[in-house]
Amino acid sequence: MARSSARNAGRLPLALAGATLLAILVVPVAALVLSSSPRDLAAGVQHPLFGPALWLSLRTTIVSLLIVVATGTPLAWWLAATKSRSARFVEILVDLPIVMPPAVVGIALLETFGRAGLFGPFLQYWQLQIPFSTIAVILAQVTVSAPFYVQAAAAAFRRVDPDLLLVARTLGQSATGAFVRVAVPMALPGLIGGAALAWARSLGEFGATLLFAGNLPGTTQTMPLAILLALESDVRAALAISLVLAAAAVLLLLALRVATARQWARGPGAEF
Amino acid sequence: MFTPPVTALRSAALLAVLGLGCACGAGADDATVVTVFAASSLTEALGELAEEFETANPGTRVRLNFAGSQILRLQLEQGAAADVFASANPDHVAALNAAELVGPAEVFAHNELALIVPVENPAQITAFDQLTRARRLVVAEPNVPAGRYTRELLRRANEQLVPGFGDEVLSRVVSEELNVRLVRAKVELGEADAAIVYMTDAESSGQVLRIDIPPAVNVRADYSVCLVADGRAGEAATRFVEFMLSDTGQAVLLRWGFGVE
Amino acid sequence: MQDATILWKAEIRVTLGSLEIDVAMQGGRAPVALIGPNGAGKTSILRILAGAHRATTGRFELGGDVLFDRSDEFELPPEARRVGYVPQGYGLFPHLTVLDNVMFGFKSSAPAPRAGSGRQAAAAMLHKLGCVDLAERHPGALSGGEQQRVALARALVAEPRMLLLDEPLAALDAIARRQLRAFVAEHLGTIVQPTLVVTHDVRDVMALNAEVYALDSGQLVQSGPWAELAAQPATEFVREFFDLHGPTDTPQPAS
Repeated sequence: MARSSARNAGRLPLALAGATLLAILVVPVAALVLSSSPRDLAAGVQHPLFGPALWLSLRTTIVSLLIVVATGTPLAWWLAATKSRSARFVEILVDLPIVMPPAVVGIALLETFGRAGLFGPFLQYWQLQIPFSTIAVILAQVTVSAPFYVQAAAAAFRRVDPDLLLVARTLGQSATGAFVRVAVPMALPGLIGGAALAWARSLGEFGATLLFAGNLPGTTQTMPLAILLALESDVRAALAISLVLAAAAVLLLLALRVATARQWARGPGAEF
Repeated sequence: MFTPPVTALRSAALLAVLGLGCACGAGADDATVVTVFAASSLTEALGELAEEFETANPGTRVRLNFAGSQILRLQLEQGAAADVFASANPDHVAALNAAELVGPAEVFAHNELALIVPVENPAQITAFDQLTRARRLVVAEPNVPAGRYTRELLRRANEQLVPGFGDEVLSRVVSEELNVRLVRAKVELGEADAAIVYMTDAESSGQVLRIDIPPAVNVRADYSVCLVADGRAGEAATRFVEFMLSDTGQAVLLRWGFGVE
Repeated sequence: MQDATILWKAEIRVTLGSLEIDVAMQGGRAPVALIGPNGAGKTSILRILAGAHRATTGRFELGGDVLFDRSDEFELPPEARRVGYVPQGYGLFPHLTVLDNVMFGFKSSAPAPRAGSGRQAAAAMLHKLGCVDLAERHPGALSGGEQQRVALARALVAEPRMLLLDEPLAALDAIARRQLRAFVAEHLGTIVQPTLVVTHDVRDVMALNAEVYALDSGQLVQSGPWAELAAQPATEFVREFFDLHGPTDTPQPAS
């Protein structure tokens, strides 16, 4: 008896620490949900800021996600499959936007694609303008969200047994064929998880967008920016936008869990 | 003089934690700390003013938080801890006064608007009425005092200069920034063809060209200062406000291009 | 009497990590067994023959075709070699059904299959190996013995010119092993392909009546008909391998 209560007492600090973190994470979201009534929500949703920001955020984050997945998947595969030393260096480069403050990312993008930036003269020659455009929003989102996807995808590809890929090759698949028909399906839960993270990150992107793309309703004013502006004029609108973003995040998480759960349901040997 | 945009973003972060304010480290040392929330256009002037105040009052430290006045008002409404609020617009102060969050206000300086273009002047604007040559115009967003003054300016231009001029100019806006210093930064970086900021912002930057706005349409911005209710600095805060209104303080503001009484 | 024609020849010299491999092997229609202690390089040799790694020097000839020749810098990729490979763990694709697994090789090796012919061929092979009723299941739901047969079916459907089996029976329990040993021996006897089998079990070697290559630390220490190695083992490992009076996994009668 004494030993089990001593063991439980030893677990208490750990349980408290975990519970505290959980509270810090959950309570603000709960407060957000409790903070507005359905009538306030209805009023907030009708605010002129809400619609354009929602539509812009949806458009841009979906395009960003497609770009990230299309370009990040081959990169992640190379990182997972290669034995060259340059791969480690490339990994650090890919991770950079995660550790850089978003404001720094914004300024870096300006210095690259801005009129006075590295590619400025080139872009001007082709009469392409990037800052202040929706393209700038997408660029900023891609920059900050890609590392999440590439990391998750590379980790998922690394977990694929190389023997299976060799078997696929001996059965007549080219390297690309083995990648498409074996590696990708097996890595899919990890790929989906990475994509969800990347999407969530670009949905919430603020600092780089503000500095690089600017703030114009309908063109560059994404939902996070709209929240800040709405707070200045109509708090209900700000709350409504915040709730929609929070709900989107929750739905993403649920979809993620369902997708991965279905993979496990295939049977004990299906743990790939 | 380029104020890092981090200032505005830090304010936004403050908002995100619902007005925890910036009085967190105040109790650490023995010095009295006067926390001042001020419009971003006052950055250099109040910075110098604060230094002179600290020299004249050893044992007192002044902590400055610069942001768009609308953001500062929001923070104060959410309970941020401050002692003094200096706004670029009387309306924000009036609203806070009505909510009994601040005491009565006094105008301590004024400003007017100016048109700025990058040094390279890509749109080749040399006079205010050529503003429609700009294809990329940056202004402050409507809730920022400078943004509100800008729209008032353009309304007057519609009436008194050329009908439709102001609307045409507004259609060239590509971004509405969160404070006037961010507006200026876009011009300094060469990204905007033109922007409308305060005269003081135009003068304190060596990286932009200033174009005067016809006095007939220009807007006068009145800066008012007030004491925040329940401020912790007490008497020191009152002395700071008095310093701002004193001859020494006004001289500093004058040096930085503000108009004084 | 066994056909003595040599159908395949391989010389391999490569350094993998700290292991230096230097072997020369050949075989005909009869199965060839590759034995050796753990870490001797057996799996690596199979993978080199399948095309996963490149030898530093060496040559691999199969059925008159050269699959790689390092002196000529000639190297066929795995998909062009038509060498079947069943790794330890069988390598079944967990996201596909048994039938889709078996069809995997057919679709890609046949030039222009008629619609449905892939399924037919796969079903026929599964039937031949006695597991056609597993067709719609996923590999995770199969027992070890069933997975083994499916893996074999999949390799055979692709009509390889040679089969590489890595410890095909090692992961099975004693009873399944015995059943499958007889089964594999019988089928390898009817299959035309030369086969190279890595095994730890002397009974596999005997059941296949195989030529044996014994490997240690990457080098060949003995080769020849298994009876020869059993009679005159060249190393302690070979002697222990063929020690038929040692412990077996025959189930003890319950008492």
